[in-house]
Amino acid sequence: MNITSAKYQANLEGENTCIIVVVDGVTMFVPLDPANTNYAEIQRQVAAGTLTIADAD
Amino acid sequence: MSKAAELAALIGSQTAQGNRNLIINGAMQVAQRGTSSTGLHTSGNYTTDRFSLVFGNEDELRVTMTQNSVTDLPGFANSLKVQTTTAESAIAADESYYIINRYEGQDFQQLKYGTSNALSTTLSFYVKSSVTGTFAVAIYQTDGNDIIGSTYTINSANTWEKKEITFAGNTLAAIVDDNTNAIMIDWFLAAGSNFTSVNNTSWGGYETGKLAFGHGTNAVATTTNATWEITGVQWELGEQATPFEHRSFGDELARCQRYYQKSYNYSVAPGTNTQDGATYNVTQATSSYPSAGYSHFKVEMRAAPTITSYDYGGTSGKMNAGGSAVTPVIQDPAQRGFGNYVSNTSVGVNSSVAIHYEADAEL
Repeated sequence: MNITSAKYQANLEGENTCIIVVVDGVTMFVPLDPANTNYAEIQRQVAAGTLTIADAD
Repeated sequence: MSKAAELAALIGSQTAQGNRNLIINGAMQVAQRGTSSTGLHTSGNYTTDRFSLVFGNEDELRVTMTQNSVTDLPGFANSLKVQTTTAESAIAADESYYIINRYEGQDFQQLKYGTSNALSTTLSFYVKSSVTGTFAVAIYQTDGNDIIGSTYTINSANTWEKKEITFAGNTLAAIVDDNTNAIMIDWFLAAGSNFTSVNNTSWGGYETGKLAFGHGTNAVATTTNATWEITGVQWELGEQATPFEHRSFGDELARCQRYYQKSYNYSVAPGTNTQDGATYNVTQATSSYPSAGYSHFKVEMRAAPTITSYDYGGTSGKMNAGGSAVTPVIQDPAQRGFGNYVSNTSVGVNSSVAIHYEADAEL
């Protein structure tokens, strides 16, 4: 999974609701669900120090 | 044997029962993402639902994967076909290439794995290849980190052959009863020596060398225009392969949509320029509040899915609002659907809002 950017997105209440990632040029919204394989991969890359998730606007 | 005894034996063997096949989309009927993908070199691509390609460290290899129309195997209309368009010069020790099929643990509790009564299963499928030789198949159980494998031989080039492989039940570890990845079935098309060195013919702890034990030919990957295709995949309880259990297209589609679905009509590829299938709503009559919409999924998904949104024109990461393409805020993607909202101050009141999407909860 070649993630070129990652940024939290907040809901109306200001809580993070998903992560906006760009993978091979395609923008995706990844839920904060450990059972989601994309989220699990993001967490793996963050733990490995190869990916940083930017704060929501 | 009397007719009654025959019937009892038939019922006992489970061949007369429905829902024998544990495989989803085994006849390769469903291909929601599209019927052909070209130039593939990285893992995770699908054409027929639930079956994806895994590439491991190849250099030159490029392949086309299609949902192929079958005309020479009565009873089947489709297959999953891979064709090598750029051959790998040689398969190095650390290179592998295979088809993978993943399943949730909660769907396999009947196997009784992790107990002394673990049940044997039989995997059967039709395969056709331009390459003859011996190919490896492995079943990996995530819970317990266990693996078992076997091989099959393609005897005649470009000819459908039915293969049947029986696996013992795994007494070593139970399958966790949840929605996560528990069972993976791998059909190897190429495997370097790192993956073929350790016997895997009985259940045991995972080792890299067990993945493709016995795999004998890598020519599918090292031969330009080589082909390999599969259909009629069935995995069932017991030590006998029974006739393939055909399901309706609608049944298979619904099963597949637990893992992937889209707003577009079935035959329309995501990202196509169209309004058909999009979810609509209208922004509020006041600009004081943002306007929210909600897209309900056709089938409850395995887990909260990754959402890829599109505007009418097919641009990802966008939706349409007030005639313009804007970036949506995706609110709380969940198994039943997801919300999206836009600011009225930028879109305008009483404006049409629409979104196309793909939702992916694959294992």
